[in-house]
Amino acid sequence: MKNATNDNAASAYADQELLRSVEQSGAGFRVASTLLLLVLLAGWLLFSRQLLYGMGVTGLNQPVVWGFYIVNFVFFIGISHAGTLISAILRLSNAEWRRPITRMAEVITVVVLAIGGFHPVLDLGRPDRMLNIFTAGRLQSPLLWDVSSITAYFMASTVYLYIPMIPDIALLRDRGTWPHWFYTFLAWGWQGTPRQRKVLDRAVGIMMVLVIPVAISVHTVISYIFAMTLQPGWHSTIFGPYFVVGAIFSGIAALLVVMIVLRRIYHLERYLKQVHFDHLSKLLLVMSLLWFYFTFSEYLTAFFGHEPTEMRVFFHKFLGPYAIFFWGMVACNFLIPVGILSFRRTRTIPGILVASCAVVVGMWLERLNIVVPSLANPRLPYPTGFYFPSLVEWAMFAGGIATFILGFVVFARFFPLISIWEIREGREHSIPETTERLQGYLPDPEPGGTPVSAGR
Amino acid sequence: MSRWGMVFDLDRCTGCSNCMAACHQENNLAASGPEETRLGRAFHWIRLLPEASQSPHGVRIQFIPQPCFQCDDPPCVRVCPVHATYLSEEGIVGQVYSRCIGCRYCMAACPYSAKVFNWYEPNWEGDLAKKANPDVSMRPKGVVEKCTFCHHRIIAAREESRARGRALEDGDVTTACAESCPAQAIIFGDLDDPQSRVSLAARGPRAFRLHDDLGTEPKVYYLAEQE
Amino acid sequence: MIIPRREFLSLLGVTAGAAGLGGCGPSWEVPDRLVELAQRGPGLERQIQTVCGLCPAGCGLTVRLVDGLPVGLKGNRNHPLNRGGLCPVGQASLEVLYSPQRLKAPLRRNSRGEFEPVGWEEAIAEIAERLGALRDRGAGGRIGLLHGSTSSLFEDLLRQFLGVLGSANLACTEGSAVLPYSLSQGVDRVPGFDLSNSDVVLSFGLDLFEDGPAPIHAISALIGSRTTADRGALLHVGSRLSPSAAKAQRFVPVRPGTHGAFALGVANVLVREGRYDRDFVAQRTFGFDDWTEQGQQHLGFRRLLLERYYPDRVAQICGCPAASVADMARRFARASAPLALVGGEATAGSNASWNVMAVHALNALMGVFNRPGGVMPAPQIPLTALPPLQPPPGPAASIFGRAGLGRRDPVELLATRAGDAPPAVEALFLVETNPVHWKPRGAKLAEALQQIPLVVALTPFLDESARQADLVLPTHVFLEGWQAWSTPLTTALSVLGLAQPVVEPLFETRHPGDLLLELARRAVPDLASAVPWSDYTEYLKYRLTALASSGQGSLLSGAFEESWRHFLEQRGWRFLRHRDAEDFWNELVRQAGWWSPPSSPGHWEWLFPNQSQRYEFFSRTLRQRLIEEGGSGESAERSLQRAIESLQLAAGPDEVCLPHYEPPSQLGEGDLTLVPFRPITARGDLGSASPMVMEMFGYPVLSGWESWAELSAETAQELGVDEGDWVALESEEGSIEARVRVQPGAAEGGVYVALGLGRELAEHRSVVGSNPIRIMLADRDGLSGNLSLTSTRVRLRLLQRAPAGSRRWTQEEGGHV
Ligand SMILES: Nc1nc2c(c(=O)[nH]1)N[C@H]1C(S)=C(S)[C@@H](COP(=O)(O)OP(=O)(O)OC[C@H]3O[C@@H](n4cnc5c(=O)[nH]c(N)nc54)[C@H](O)[C@@H]3O)O[C@H]1N2
Ligand SMILES: Nc1nc2c(c(=O)[nH]1)N[C@H]1C(S)=C(S)[C@@H](COP(=O)(O)OP(=O)(O)OC[C@H]3O[C@@H](n4cnc5c(=O)[nH]c(N)nc54)[C@H](O)[C@@H]3O)O[C@H]1N2
Ligand code: SF4
Ligand code: SF4
Ligand code: SF4
Ligand code: SF4
Ligand code: SF4
Ligand SMILES: [Mo]
Repeated sequence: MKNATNDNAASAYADQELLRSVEQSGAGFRVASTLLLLVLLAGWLLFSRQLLYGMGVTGLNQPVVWGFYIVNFVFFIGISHAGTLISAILRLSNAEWRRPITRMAEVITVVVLAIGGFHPVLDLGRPDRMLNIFTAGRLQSPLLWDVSSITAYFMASTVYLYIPMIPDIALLRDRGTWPHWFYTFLAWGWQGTPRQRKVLDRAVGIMMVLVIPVAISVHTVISYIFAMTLQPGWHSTIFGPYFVVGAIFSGIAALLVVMIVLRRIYHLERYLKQVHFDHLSKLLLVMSLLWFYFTFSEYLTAFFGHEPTEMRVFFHKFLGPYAIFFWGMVACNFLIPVGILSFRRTRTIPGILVASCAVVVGMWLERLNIVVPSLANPRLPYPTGFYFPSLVEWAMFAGGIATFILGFVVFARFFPLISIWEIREGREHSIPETTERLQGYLPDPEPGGTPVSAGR
Repeated sequence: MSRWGMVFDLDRCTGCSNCMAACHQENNLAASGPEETRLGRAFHWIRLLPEASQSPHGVRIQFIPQPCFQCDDPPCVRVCPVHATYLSEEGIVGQVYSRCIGCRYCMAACPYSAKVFNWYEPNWEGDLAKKANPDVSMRPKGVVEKCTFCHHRIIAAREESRARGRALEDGDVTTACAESCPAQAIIFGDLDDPQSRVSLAARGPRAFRLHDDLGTEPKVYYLAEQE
Repeated sequence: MIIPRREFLSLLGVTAGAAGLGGCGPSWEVPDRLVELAQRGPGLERQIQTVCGLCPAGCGLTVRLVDGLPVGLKGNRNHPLNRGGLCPVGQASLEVLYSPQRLKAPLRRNSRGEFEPVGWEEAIAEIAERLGALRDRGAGGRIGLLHGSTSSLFEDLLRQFLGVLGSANLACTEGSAVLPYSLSQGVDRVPGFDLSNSDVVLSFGLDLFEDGPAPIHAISALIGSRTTADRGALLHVGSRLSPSAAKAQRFVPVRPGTHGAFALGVANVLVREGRYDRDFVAQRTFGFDDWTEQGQQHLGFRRLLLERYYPDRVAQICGCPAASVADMARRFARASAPLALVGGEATAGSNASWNVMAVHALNALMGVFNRPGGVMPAPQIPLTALPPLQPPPGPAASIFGRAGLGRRDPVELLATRAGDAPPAVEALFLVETNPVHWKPRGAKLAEALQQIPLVVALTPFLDESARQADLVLPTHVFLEGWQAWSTPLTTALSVLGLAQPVVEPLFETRHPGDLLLELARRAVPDLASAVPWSDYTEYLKYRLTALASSGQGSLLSGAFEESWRHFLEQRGWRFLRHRDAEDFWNELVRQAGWWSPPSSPGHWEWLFPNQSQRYEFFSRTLRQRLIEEGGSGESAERSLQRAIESLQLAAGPDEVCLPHYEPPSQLGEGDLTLVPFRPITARGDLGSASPMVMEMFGYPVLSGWESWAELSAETAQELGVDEGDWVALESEEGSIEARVRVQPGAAEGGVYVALGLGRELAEHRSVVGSNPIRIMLADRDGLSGNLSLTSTRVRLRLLQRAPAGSRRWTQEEGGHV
C-alpha cells in the first residue's frame, strides 16, 4: 500500500514535466500562434480573389488543369498515414517502445487530414455547389470514393485519438487545470474504475483493428483518381500500393521530424530516447527501399513498353522540364535517407532529422511529378503545357503548413503530447508483463528438474 | 432513336478554320483574351490539330479538325462526381452547366483534351453579347463545357419534323461547323441509319478514328487523304 | 404559253409545299404555318440573304435574325462564289458589327490637334463649303480620293463624285495587278480563271485557299461543289508550307521570289518534251519562235527557254531539286484542263510583273484560253451608264498618273509630293482605306497627310490613317447598309452580289455613298444633274436598270427553282422573269444577287485585244512602252537600253520583252529575308475588331492574339532560337516583336510574318501583335510601280526564351519536323 502511494508520487512527479506545456504555457504560445494565424489569414485573403474572380487567378491552364491544390491534397493525406496507421500497427504488435510516440502520431493524422481533405474544395471552380457531391453524387466516380474513405478515416482517427486521451483529460480535470469545464466535459466522467479501464482497452482494441484497412483504403483510392483515367503516366495497376507505401514513408518521416522538434521545444528528452528514433528510422530505411522498388518497377515498365504517349511523359520527367524535380525526388527519397540511415554512425538524431526532412520534401516532389507532367503531355498537341503556380497557390500552400504547426501548438497548449497514463501503465504493468512474455518465449524449465544453471 | 455522328473528310478539308469560327458564333463562345490565351486558356470547342509527317516527296502538314468525339464509352463521363456530364440516349455527351462543380476531373480524364473550362466569367465586351444565339445558354464561370454536336439544333429539327408530321430524315439536322464549311468536308447525321451519308462514309474504306486503340468508341470519324 | 413570275413562284410554292421542301428556303417562302410555328416563337425568326462586305470577294451570306437582331449567319448556298461556305472572318462579322471599338459619331481635329465630337450637319457643311471653294477657284484638280479594293459600282460613284468637283485624282491603295496581263494578253482587266472546271491548278506563290481575290470561291470551285472523285487537284510552288500548300498534292519549296524561274523551268520541260498545244501556239500566239522585223532578228520564247531555263539552272536559282521541275511539268501537262495561277508572295516583290508573265506563259503554252476550265474573261455585267458631267469642266489628268508602265504607287506619290508648293493635293478623301497601316513607310505617309490642308476619312473605325485626318466621318459596317459587289478579280463566272442592310445602324453612322452624294450636291449645286440620286440605294437601282432589261444571266435562286424553270422551258413554256425594273429589283434584293456562268466569248479579238490580237510571248506592247520610257529621239535600241538601265533590269533588250526571270531585289542588311503572308484569319481589313478572330488568328501554329515568325528548322538552329522563343525583327525602318515558330517547309533564310495584326482600330487600345509592313524598306516593281513587300532584309534578336515543354505537333506520325 505504502509502496503504491510512493509509486504514485513518483509517477505523479514524472507527470509534471509532461503537463508543463499545458499548465505553464507562456508568451511562447501566444507569439507562435499569432504568427501562424497571420500566415493563415494572408493565405485566405489572397484566396478570396479566387472566390471572387474564378480559378483564373491560379497558374492552371488548358492541358494542366490540376496543380498545387491537388498535389498538396495527395501530399497531406499521405502524411496523415504517419499517425493512426503506425500507432495502430505498433499497438497491435504490442511494441512497447510505442508508448511515448502514439499520441503525437495520432495528432498528426487528425490535423493533416483536416488540411488535406479540404484541398479539393479549394480546387473547385464552383465551390458554391460543393454540396452537389452529396445531393447528386455519383458513386461510380473515384472522387466520391475519396470523399467517403477520407471522411471515414477522419472520423476513426479522431475517435482513436480521443479515447486514449480520456484518462489524461481526467487527470487535468482533477488538478483543476483551466478551463475546468472543458476538461470536465471531455473527461466524460472518467474515474479510472476497473470497469472503465476495461471498456477503454476494448474500445482502443476495436478502433486500432478498424482503422488499419480504412487507412490503407484512403491512399489506395486517392491513387485511383489518377489510375482510373487512361492518361499516360497515370493508368497503372500498382498505383494503389505505390501510393500507400509512399504515404506511410512520408508519414514516418513527418512523425520523426515532429518528434525531434517537439522533443527539443518541450524538453522531452527523458521520454523520447535514442532507441525510439533508432527503431523508427530503421522503419524509414525499409520504407525508402520499398519506395525505390515501386518507383523502379513503375518507370521500367513505362520505359520498356516505349509507348509514344507514355514516353513523352517519361522524358518530360527524366530529361525534360521536370528533370530537376524528378531527380530531386530520387535524391530526397532514396539516396539521402539510405546514405544516412544505413550506418549507425550517421543514424544520430541530427542525421535522422536531415533524412526525414529530405523524405518529406522528396515525397512532395513525387506528388508534383505524378500530377503535372502527365497533364502537360496530352495525347493531342496543345499550344502550351507549362504550369507555374500563382501567388494564390503558394499562399495556400504556406497556409496549409502553418495550419499544421498551429495544430500542434494548440494541442500542446491543452493536452499532454505524451500519453501520461500509458507511460504509467508501462511502468506499472508492462515491465512484469514483458518479463512474463519473455519467459513465455523461452523454453519451460524441465518438470521438477534442477535449474538449468546447475550444470552437470 | 438516333445515334449522332460526324465525319471529317480530310481529303476535302483545306484547314480553313471556318468550323472554329462557326462554332464560336453558334454556341456563344466568348474569347478569353490575349493574356489568357498566352497562359494556354484559348477557348475553342473545335480545334485544328497540326500534324506533320515525312512523306516520300517531302514533309507534309495536315490540319485535323477536332471537336469533342462524343465517345460512346466516354472516360470523361465515367469520372464525373456529380453527373454534370452525361451520355444522352442519342449518344451526345452533354454538360449540365448548372450542376457542374468545376473539379475539372472530366478534363483530366478526356484523352483528347476536348473540354474547356471557364477560368473566369465569360467576357462580352461592350454589346458583343447582343449577337448571342438565343438557343444556346451563356455559361457561368467555373464550369466545364465542350462541343455539344449543336444539340439545340437537333431538338429544333426534331420539333420541326414533328410539326411536319414526319420522321427526322438524313440532312434535316446539320451542325454549325458543317453548315458553312466551304469544302463540304463535314458530314453530320445518324450513324444508326444505314443509308445516311454519315454512316456510309464512316463505314467506307478511308474511314478511321483518332486513337481508336483507347476503346473510347468516338463517334467522330475521319476519311484519310487520298493521293 | 407565258407565265408571269409571280404565278411561277406560287406554282413552285405549292409544289414545294406538296413535296414538303423547305424550312425557310432562301428563294421562296413555303406557305406552311406549321413550319412557322415550329420555329421557336412564331414569326420571331427570319432569314435574310445578303453579301459579306468584309473583303472584295463578296461571299453570299444568309443572316439569321431573331426579334430583328442578327444572331447567326451561314454561307448562302445559292451564291455561285461560295456555295454556302464562308471564311472565319466573314463568319465572325457580327463581332465586327457590335465591336465596342467602332466610331459612334463624327470627329473633328481641334486647334490642339485632338479629336472632338462634331455634329453631322456641321461636319458636312464645312467639307462641302471647302470643296466648293476649291472648285470655284478652279483648283478642283487638287482634290484627291484614295479608296481600298472595293465594289466597282461604288468606285464608279467615287469617280463621278470627283468628276463633279473637277478632279480625276482617284486611286486605289491596293496596287493594280493588271499590267503584266495587259502586256502579254492585251486585256485591261485581270482575266478570269475557270477554277470550277479545271482539274489541275498549278499555283505559284498564291495560297489559293487562304489568300488571293476569292479563296472561299477557290475552295468551293475546286472541292466544295465537286464530288471527292472529280475534285480539282492543286500543285503548289512557294517558299512557305502554308495550309494551302499543305493541301496541295505536290508542294515544291523554292527560294522567296524565284517563282518565275520555276515557271520557266516548267515551260522548258513542256517545250522540250513537246507537251504543249502546238496549234494554239502557232495560231494564237506571237514570239514563240525567233522572228524578224525590218531585217532585224529577234529572240523567240522557245530559244530563250531552251538556252536559259533548263531544269538544272532553274533548280540552282530556286534551290530545289531539278527533278521536281520535270515532275511538276508532267503533272501539269497530263491534266485535261490545267491552269497556272500566280499571286501571294510571287506578286508581292520587286519582280512581281515578271513572275506573272512567266507563269501566264504556261497557260499560253497549254492553250487553255477561251475554254472551260481555262482562262476566260468574266461576262460583262450590263450596267446603266453614268449621266455625263454637264457642263464638263474637263477634269485635269490624274496626278496619280494612268495605270501602266512606270506608274508610281499613288501612296508613295502622295508621301513625296505633299510638300510641293503649291500643294499637289489640298483636300484628300480616304474612303474605307488605311494606307498608313498597309503601305511601307506608313510613317512617312502619316507626316504627308499632316501637311495636306484638309483630310477627310470615311471609316467605321478610327484606324491608323483616320488618326491623321482632320475630319473623321463614321460609316456603316456592311450589315447596316446597301452595297453591290461585282465579280472579284480572277473569277471566270460573273456575279453581282447585292448586299442589303440586315439591322438598323447601331450608331450615328452614314453610308459612304449617301455621304459623297450629299457632299457633291452641296459643294456643286449646278452639277446636281450629274448626281441625280437621292441616296446610294437610288444610285444602285439606277445602275442596275440595264441589268434588269438585259435578260442575261439569272438571279441567285435555289437549285430547285432553277431546275423547275429549266424543265418547263424545255417543254416550250416561256417566263416573263420580271414585270418591270421594280419587280426585278425586289427579286434581286430578296435573293441578294445575280450571276452569269463562265462563257467563252468565241471571238479572239476580244480575248487578246492588242495589236497582234494574239497572246504575245514577246510583248511588243512592252517593247513600245520601254522605248517611250527610254525617251528622246535617237535610235529605238538606245532608248530601250536606257529604259532597261533606269529600271535596273538584268535582262537584255529582247529577253526583257519575253517572259524571263528577274532576281528579286533585297534592301538593307540582315541575314533574313522578311516575307509577309496573309493567313485566312487576316481576310479583309476588319477581322481584328473581332475578339474571336484574334483568338484563333494563329490557328495553324496553335496561337492567338500575337504575331509569330516562321523559320525553317535549319535557320532557327543557325540563329540559335527555338520554338516559342520571343524575338525582335529589326530593319533600318524599325523593329517588331514576334514568337518563333519552327515550321517545316519554310525556305532557309526566310522569316515569315503574318499580315493583319498590329492594327489600331480605336484610341486607348492595346495593339494586338505587330505589323511587319512597318519595318519594310520601300522598293517597287519597276514595271507596275506597286510597292514591294518582300525586299527587306532583317536581323533577328532573341528577347526571351520560351518555357520548356511546349509542343505543337502530334508525334504519332512524323513527330517534330
Ligand atoms: N453542352 C450543353 N450540355 C447540356 C446543356 C446545354 O445547354 N449545353 N443543357 C443541359 C440541360 S439543362 C439539359 S435539360 C440536358 C438536355 O439534354 P437531353 O435531355 O439529353 O436532351 P437532348 O439529348 O438534347 O434530347 C433529349 C432526348 O430525348 C429524346 N427525345 C426528344 N423528343 C422526344 C420525345 O418526344 N419522346 C421521347 N421519349 N424522347 C424524346 C431525344 O432523342 C434525346 O435523346 O442537356 C444538358 N447538357
Ligand atoms: N434550342 C434549344 N433550346 C433549349 C434547349 C435546347 O436543348 N435547345 N434546352 C432547354 C432546356 S432543357 C433548358 S434547361 C434550358 C437551359 O437554358 P438556361 O437555363 O438558360 O441554361 P443553363 O445552362 O441551364 O444555365 C442557366 C443560367 O444559370 C446560370 N447559372 C449557372 N450556375 C449557376 C449558379 O450556381 N447560380 C446562379 N445564380 N446562376 C447559375 C448560368 O449563367 C446560366 O446562364 O434551355 C432550354 N432551351
Ligand atoms: S471548315 Fe471545313 S475545310 Fe475548313 S477547316 Fe473546317 S472542316 Fe476543314
Ligand atoms: S472526347 Fe473527351 S470529352 Fe468528348 S466524349 Fe470523349 S472523353 Fe468526353
Ligand atoms: S468539371 Fe463538372 S462536368 Fe467535369 S467532372 Fe467535374 S463536375 Fe463533372
Ligand atoms: S458540332 Fe456544333 S458544337 Fe460541335 S464543334 Fe461543330 S459547331 Fe461546335
Ligand atoms: S471576308 Fe471575304 S472571303 Fe471571308 S466571307 Fe467575307 S467575303 Fe468571303
Ligand atoms: Mo434542362
